[in-house]
This record gives sequence, structure tokens and C-alpha cells, in this order.
Amino acid sequence: MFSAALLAGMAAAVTLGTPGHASFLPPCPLHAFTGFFCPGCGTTRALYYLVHGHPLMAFGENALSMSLLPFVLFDLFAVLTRRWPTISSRLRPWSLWTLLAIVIMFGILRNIPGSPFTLLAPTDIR
Amino acid sequence: VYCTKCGTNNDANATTCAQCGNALHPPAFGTPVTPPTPPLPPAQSFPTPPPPQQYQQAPIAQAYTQPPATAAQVPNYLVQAILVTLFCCLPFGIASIIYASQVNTKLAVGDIAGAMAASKQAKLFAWIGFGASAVVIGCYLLFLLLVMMGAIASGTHVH
Repeated sequence: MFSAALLAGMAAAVTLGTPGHASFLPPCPLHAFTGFFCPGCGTTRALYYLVHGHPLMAFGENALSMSLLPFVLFDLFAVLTRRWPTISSRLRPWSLWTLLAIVIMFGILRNIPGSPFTLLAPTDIR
Repeated sequence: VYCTKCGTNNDANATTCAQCGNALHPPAFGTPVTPPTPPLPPAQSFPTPPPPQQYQQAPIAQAYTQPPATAAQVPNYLVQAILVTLFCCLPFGIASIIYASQVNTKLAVGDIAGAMAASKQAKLFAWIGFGASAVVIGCYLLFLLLVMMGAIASGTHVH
């Protein structure tokens, strides 16, 4: 129940507020302190674009979190309602280790300055 | 007793699950949870002594003492781990994903006790991550409040 309220609050925050500079939405602490992009950087902005009807822009902000979104939403629903078993508990071990590798690789690649990798880096909302 | 529907650990004498209300059945007598694979006797020329009687009774004793746990009942907290990784605290999230992967890896080889231990660790790191995000967001909002109050006090307009 608490989690559901928290989720609704997050959805409302992302719908009403504009992430980026001078906003009440918190920035990524890792990026704020080190300047590096973490694998999750841009997720708030991506959700903002998604809620406002720009799925392609959302993928531009954070391709990883948008790819994981359907799975996360389903599993979150499964965990909260406890009606059916989660996908994550039925996944084969190798796919979990692959996911871990993808998350780490995504975090490294999006920090590389250069033509193909900058596509993975988030852009700022002005 | 672990609920067969949602996996919540209930009191041993509970009749319904505290979490989902599902009727709890006591673990069936004599069904081994982890059928121990008997070590294959190596090809030897001399006859091997018969295994001790105690070993034969081990599976039944195990079924009595250990809660029945199947793949669906050892949560790996992967969703929480991903959320922590993406939204706030990368190190805790990564640690949680590693333990989540270990849960499924250990379940796949039948190591239920190991999977339970990994599950506990995954949960712990996910909660540390959630706690850290709460602290970070709290500090940020406090900082924002102070900046706004400072701006109001000095009479400048905030955008």
C-alpha cells in the first residue's frame, strides 16, 4: 500500500515537474558529485518524456531503463499484489548475470566521449 | 511455515497466511525438499560398506525441520535491485543484482539454503539502497528549501 502510494507520487511528480536544472526533482547523486553518468542517469527525464508522449525522446535519455521498464512494471505489480510469481524468480541464472554485465557495460559505454556512445548518454532538458 | 501462494514466512502454528490470507497447509510428511544426491561410489574392486542407517533417514528429518522452499518461494529482489540501481545508489543496486543472480544460480543447482542466504543479502542491499535514496532525496529537498528561503529573504525572484 505504501509502495503504491509512493509510485503514484513519483508518477505525479514526473508528470507535473520538469526534471533538469532548477527543479524539485532530485538529480542523480553520482553525476552531481563525480560528473560521470551512471546506468540510471536520465531515467527521471525519460519517464517525463514518456508521460508527455515522446517515447523516442525517452529512449534517447536512457535506453536501458526504458528497455527494462515493461519487465520492471510487471514484476513490481507481481511483487506488490502477490497474485502471481515474478518473472525475476523464474529467470535462468545466465540471463541474470547477462543483465548485470549489460548494466555495467551501459554505465561504462555512455561515459565514453565519441560518436556512437554519446547516443547512450542522457541529454538535458532546458 | 512458508505460504505456498506468496512465500511469506508465517508462524509455525498459523493456519492462514498473514500476508495474503491463503490457507496454510503443514508440509507434507516424508516429502524430501532437497533430495540429497548420494555420492556415486567410485569403481572399486573391493566391496564398499553399506551407507550408515543415519544417512537413509536424513531426507525425512530434513522435510520435517526445513520449510518447503521451491524456486518461486525464494524471492531474489531483482526488481528492487534494478530500481535502486537506476534511481539512486549504483553500488548498493549492483551488489543487490549480484546477490539476486546468486539466488537463481544456487536454486538451479538445488542449494536452497545458499539461495535463502543470497536472498537475504539481496534484500539487505536493496533496503540499504532505498534508505540511502531516501536520505539523498531528503537532503536535496532540505537544500532546496534552504535555497528558496535564502532567496526570499534576500528579495530575489526564483525561477
